[in-house]
Order: sequence, then structure tokens, then C-alpha cells
Amino acid sequence: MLSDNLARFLRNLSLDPSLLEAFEQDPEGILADTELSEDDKRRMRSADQEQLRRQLPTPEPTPGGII
Amino acid sequence: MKKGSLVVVGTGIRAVGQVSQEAVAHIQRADKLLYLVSDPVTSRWLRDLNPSAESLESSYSVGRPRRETYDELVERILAAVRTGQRVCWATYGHPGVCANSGHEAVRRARGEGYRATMLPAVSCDDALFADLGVDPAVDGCQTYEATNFVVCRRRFDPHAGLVLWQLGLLGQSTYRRQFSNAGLPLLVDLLAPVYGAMHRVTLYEAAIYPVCAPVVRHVELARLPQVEVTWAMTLFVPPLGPAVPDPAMAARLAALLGE
Repeated sequence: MLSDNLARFLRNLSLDPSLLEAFEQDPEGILADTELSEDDKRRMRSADQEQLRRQLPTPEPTPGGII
Repeated sequence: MKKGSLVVVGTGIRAVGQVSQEAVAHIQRADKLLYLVSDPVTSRWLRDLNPSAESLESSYSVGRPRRETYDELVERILAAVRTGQRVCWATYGHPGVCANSGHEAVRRARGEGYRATMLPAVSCDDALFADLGVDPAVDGCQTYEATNFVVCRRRFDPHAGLVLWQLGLLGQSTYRRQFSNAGLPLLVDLLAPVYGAMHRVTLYEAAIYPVCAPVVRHVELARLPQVEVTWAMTLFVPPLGPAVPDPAMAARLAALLGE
């Protein structure tokens, strides 16, 4: 399951453009200041949507159709 | 007006960041928040915003016809409204684009005497215009659901952009976790005679997470069936070239305006 820390970190990146910019410029520096686990940090380093999607088990059915 | 109400909102495409302030307010004040989103970050955020949050994902199961699922979603939403609660139904994207259950829930709630509204939100084509640098007002833009486009043999203008939603679901009426490109040759059969087999089209999937780039794959029409598609992919077919103005029509318009 998605950890609380990773969910919070992704949410903060979405809502804080300064944090996102800092992460894009220095991902290791930003990750070092977080409480993310090594697994979560590895997920963040991938920055690949398909990889991230596979690594973050979604609880939702990704319905896709005309919901 | 009966006690009980419904507001239908969208959470946008990118996790958390594209929800309007108006939608957040409705999410927070709802007595009952029902939702269906496609990423776990938004799901958690919604549950933090409103402890009454309940996902309706259990209405989906592999192999179940989508039609049945959509009917059940509407029933579950209406059942909550009928208890007299302020109900908010939140879905990813725009709640009224590729999301007929939202429209149907609003229509039925109003029909039963409840206050019901839908708020606009960011949909996948909004993200596409931004990421691909397309202004739909320049050449015009046509949008169709991919299966509908093929089955109805839609007539289209090759001098305007063409957006086909839900490419990964082409011809699939049941919910599944694996998506197929088996229907794509039929789509190519419809498009290639008009655009040419070597016309370059774009497969697009918006970024869900802020650290990710959108998926953008350019491919010649003839090669489309060889490309792996995902459930979230949209096809953009650029226009062949600008439309040719009709001088007679332009003159008539100018005359009407006294120019």
C-alpha cells in the first residue's frame, strides 16, 4: 500500500510549486530532508508515470470507461 | 424542494492539484462524500478532507458490463441523497466528460425533487491542449469517444484537429485491467484514406503525479496498431493543414457587418 509519508509528499509537490521546482533541481537534496523510506525514495527517483503507477498499488479500479 | 442535495465535482487529472476551490468547499461540507478516482494520493486526500468519504470502487469487477456498473453508481448516489443528506459525488477528470453517471445522477435527483448541480473541472483534453501546445480555436477541434467514432463511422473534417478519447477501451464494453489494441486496425482503416498512412498522430496520456512528464508518443497512422496503449490514452490527430476560407462567404459576412 501507499505509505502515508509518500502520499503526503506527492500531495505537497502538487500544491507547492516551489517544492516541486526544488525537487526537479535537486531531488536528492529534497529527498534527504523527508521522512520517506528508502523504498519510497526509490519510487520518487523513477519519475516515470508508468513505473510509479506500478509501484504505487492503487486502491481504485482505474475505471477508464465512461464512468 | 426536498431535503437532501447532490453536487457533482471533478478532481482533475493531476493528483490533488487541479481541484477548484469551489469543489474543495463542496467536498468538505458534504454530509456524505462518494468518490471514484484513479490514484491513491487523491483518494487519501479526499478521505482527509471529509471523514464520511466512501469510494464506490466496489461497483467495479473484472468482466462486469460497464453499463451495469454505471447504473449501480447512480443508484448508490441517489440512495444517499434520498436519506436527506448533502451528498457530493467526486470523480477524476471532469465529472461530466466520459462520465455519464454524473449527468444521470443530476438528472434523476432533479426529477425526484432534490437540488442537484454539476461543477466543471479539468478534463483530459484540457491537459492535452496544454501539453501538446494545441489551441483548439485556431484550426477547430472535433472530439469523439473512440468506440463511438468507429462504430458510427463518424464524418470528420481533416482540416480540424481530431481528439479520440479512451483509445485503450476501443470496443471493450466490460471492465478489465488489461487493455488491448486489437481494435486499432479498424480505426486506421477509417483514418488512413483521409489523412494518408504516414500522417503523424500523437498518443497522449496526461501526467497524474507532479514529478512525472506526460506520455507523448508520435507515430505514423499505419504504425498505430503496433503501439502499446493504456486505459488513459487519448489520440490526437493533427489537421492536414488549415481550412480554406470561402471568399464569397467572407464577403457576405463583411456586407452584413457593413465593412
